[in-house]
Amino acid sequence: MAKCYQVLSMLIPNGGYVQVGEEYEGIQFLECEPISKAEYEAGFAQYDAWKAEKDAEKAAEKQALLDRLGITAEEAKLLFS
Amino acid sequence: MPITKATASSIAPAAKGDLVVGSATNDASVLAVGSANQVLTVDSSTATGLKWAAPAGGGKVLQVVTATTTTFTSNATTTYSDTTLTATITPTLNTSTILVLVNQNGIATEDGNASSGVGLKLLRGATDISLIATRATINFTTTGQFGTTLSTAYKDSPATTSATTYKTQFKNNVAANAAYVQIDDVMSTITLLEIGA
Repeated sequence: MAKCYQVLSMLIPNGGYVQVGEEYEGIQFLECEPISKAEYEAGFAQYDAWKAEKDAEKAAEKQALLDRLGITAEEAKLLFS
Repeated sequence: MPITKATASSIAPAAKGDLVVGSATNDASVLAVGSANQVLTVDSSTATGLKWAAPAGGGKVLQVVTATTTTFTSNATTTYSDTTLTATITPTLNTSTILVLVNQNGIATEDGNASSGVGLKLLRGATDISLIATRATINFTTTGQFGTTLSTAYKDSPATTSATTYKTQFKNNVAANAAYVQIDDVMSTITLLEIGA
């Protein structure tokens, strides 16, 4: 089950809100477009799929970079050890 | 001339606790009883040389106020907002020092920006009195950490006997990233100790 802050991070990626507690009623939309309560509640069911997609995108980007450099992930780690 | 029983009886105390005291050579007068918890104090500026006054604190702890919060709060702006950690004290004496002890728990920042960091400050009422942190950073979603703690001890002299509220506020340095306190509903505490002057 996604946490409230994860859902808000997904729905409002550019920030601009304050939330006190975990309920929708505790959200103040200060510097962003408000989302509806229905969008907030639906976000909990959407988060896992969204996160998996983001993680897959990030992994693909990393692999593409490694391919371009012609090194493995282990060799890349050595550069920063 | 010493005050005789007859002399003293001619001075009429008006209430329980009133004192007959010397006010000049061969003269006496009535010192009305003070208020609850006052003590008799020497004061040469008064007619009797005595007065009732609140006891001096003498460096002792006069009272302790503690408050806690477990309310998860996030702030995804660069403007300070309340952490929900707050406590109010009414000092006994306006000369007292208030020692403020803060333990802000479950502090974290959202993943995604290396510049992300938590700013935390202590306020008396609406006045900033201590900047506790400007860039406290725990990037919990990538490191697996679930928040850290920031603590401070601040000695304040509010010079009042009115109810005085202390609280903390926080923000993130990067607008697009949220800052969190009491993440996972951990407990933060604030303790106010009134120390007599």
